Amino acid sequence: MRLSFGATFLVAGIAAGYITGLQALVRAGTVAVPDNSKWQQELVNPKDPYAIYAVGHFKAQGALPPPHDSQLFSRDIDEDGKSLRGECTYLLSGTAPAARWWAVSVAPAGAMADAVSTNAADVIITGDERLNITLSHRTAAGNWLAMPDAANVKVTLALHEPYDQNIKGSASLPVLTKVNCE
Amino acid sequence: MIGRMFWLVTALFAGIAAHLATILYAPGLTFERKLNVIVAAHKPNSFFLMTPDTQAGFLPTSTAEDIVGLCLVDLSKGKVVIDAHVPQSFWNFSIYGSSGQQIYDINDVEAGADSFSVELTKAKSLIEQVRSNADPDDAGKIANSGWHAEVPGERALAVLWFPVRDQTQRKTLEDEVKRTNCNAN
Repeated sequence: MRLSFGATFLVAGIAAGYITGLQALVRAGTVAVPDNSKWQQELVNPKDPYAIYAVGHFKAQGALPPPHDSQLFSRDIDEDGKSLRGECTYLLSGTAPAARWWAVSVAPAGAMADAVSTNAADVIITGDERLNITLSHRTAAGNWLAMPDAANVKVTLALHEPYDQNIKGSASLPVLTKVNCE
Repeated sequence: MIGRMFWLVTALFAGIAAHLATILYAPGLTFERKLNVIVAAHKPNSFFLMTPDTQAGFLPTSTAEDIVGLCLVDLSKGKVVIDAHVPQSFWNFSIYGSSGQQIYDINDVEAGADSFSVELTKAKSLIEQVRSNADPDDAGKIANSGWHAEVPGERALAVLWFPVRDQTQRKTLEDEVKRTNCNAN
């Protein structure tokens, strides 16, 4: 009887350690963008004493952390807080990213290797420096990115050498609004 | 009561051990498995270009339209010199340590040239640092070597990334970058 009590405690302790480890890996490496909780910045802050968690976040996905002079933002919800879905059409709009190079990608959640993307050279920016990209599985006029055939979709914005290294917040990042769903 | 306390403390330590193992080892195993697939056809200390379908998942800020070159650096037999050839455009060259942390980077503005060399050596241990302080010649060697980075551990990953503005030029750009060497001396 005493042995089974001990074994139960031991298994519970190991399970708790394993589960909290997995949760920490999922949460680490991402921080909410100030004033815009819809975008998350994925990064490793080398000064962070818990940077090992953030590095583990990327390594657990079989990926390297973003380089220091690049910024990676991601989101899986629209402006209304609803999950991004492959059968819906969305409009990514805002001021043109202020960086030496940038790229927008869409991919099934958890499968960035299957991402389709567009970048600073492909996208036409309007005269007032506005960015408008339609994300849809149907071809759209203007800047268009094909939505993957997936229930849950992730959108990423990579800024390489942003002109303002402290560029963060809703004023700098585009919004993603749902147009319609089929 | 003492028996229950014993199991409670044992479970607590087992939980901490499981947590640390999940954080420290499990991600490394996943990463190593993926890296081994990527570098399977290439020897350590050789430079190669990644295929577009693998690079976006491996370097999350890159896309399939970019060009990404890799060299798995092995410092077990001494220093490694990377002679990089890059097009006159925006590029970034990074070194990642075996822990996965970026330990060095340089870009086109900082290098100011379309070819450059980076010498990688294994970081000295504390005892070696104390010894080398007593040997002024050693410090001189490092000062004269140009771009230089010290890598903690014997393995590192050199990553060269640059975007392709015009995909019709991709083959030309790839041929230029393929001239990059990653040599153990």
